[in-house]
Amino acid sequence: MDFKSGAALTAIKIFSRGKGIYIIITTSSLLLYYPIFVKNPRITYLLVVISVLNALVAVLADIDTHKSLFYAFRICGATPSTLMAYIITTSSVITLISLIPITIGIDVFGVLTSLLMNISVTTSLLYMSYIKVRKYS
Amino acid sequence: MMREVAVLLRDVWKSYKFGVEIVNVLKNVNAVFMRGEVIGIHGPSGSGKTTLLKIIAGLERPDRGEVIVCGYNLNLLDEVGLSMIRNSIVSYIPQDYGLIDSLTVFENIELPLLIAGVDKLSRLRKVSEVIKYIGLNGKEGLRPTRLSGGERQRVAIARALVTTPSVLLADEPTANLDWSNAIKVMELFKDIKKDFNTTIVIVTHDPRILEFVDRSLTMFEGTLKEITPKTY
Repeated sequence: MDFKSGAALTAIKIFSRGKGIYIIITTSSLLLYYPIFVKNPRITYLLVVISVLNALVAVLADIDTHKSLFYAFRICGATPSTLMAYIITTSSVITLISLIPITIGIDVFGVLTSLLMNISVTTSLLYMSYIKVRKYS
Repeated sequence: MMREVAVLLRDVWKSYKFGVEIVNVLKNVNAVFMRGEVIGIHGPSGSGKTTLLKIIAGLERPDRGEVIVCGYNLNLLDEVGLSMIRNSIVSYIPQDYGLIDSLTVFENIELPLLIAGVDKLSRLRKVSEVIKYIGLNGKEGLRPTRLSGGERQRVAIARALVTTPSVLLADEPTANLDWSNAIKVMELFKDIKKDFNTTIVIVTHDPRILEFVDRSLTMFEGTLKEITPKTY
């Protein structure tokens, strides 16, 4: 196992034990019913916005844990690429779960838009937290 | 017999900008720490002790001056190089321990080995050895939130020790402990020095801690001075 998969493994462990996973699974499960009742494609695009917010809240719910992880990783000698592996793994897991209702309810363009927005929002938020931790540690 | 130099600080300066004001936190700091020495740095809050430890750990860079740790000039290393130093040569124990509450004691201690890419079997063996050495048997599966202050400190020491570093830096290791636990932690540091020939640098505001160290220095307004004579 190389050090980057170690970071990915830690990211999954941390996410699976946090509050974010409950939030994102609950919201995504509820959103699964949305396309069944709302057929208007323009209104359905509201799903994309809700999905982004869902991903955002999932990151924010565990932000203190992510920050303490960044700090611990840094003092334990993680390279910047290891920290990026952690950020990307966490973002990817959150994005994938938040995308499930989108893939059912919206067309390919909507799915791609949502994918791009969710991954950008989660990665940026985690990266900003890392920069903040790095600056003050 | 000549003793090996573990840390060499030469004319180290560091300042921070607070608004328009520039505060010199470290001013012309010079020091030599030998291999296998326990050094105590005593000084009031805000005197620059933590900044000095962070500079030795490669977590911060000095504005000026040389920092050489086990032969590596930290000024010449990039971020990846400094990370390697922190992962294998220098271990830093922050005042708040820096533990992750959602990971177990075992997983917290395992973290530096996971980062280093050590295989699963070796990780299991090394972490088990350290847990036994530190005296945390039976606590492996607990989360840090379930532990006492003394035990949390031991987990932080175990995590720092698992890579068998040459230099161990402890920031106020006894600040959150009662006196009996503080004595236990200091005795543990002495054992680590004896068993692993580790250089241990302890920063403290408590003068009683200096009874347990080989050499004491005092830090005041960014300058470092020797209290006790050198033992080498």
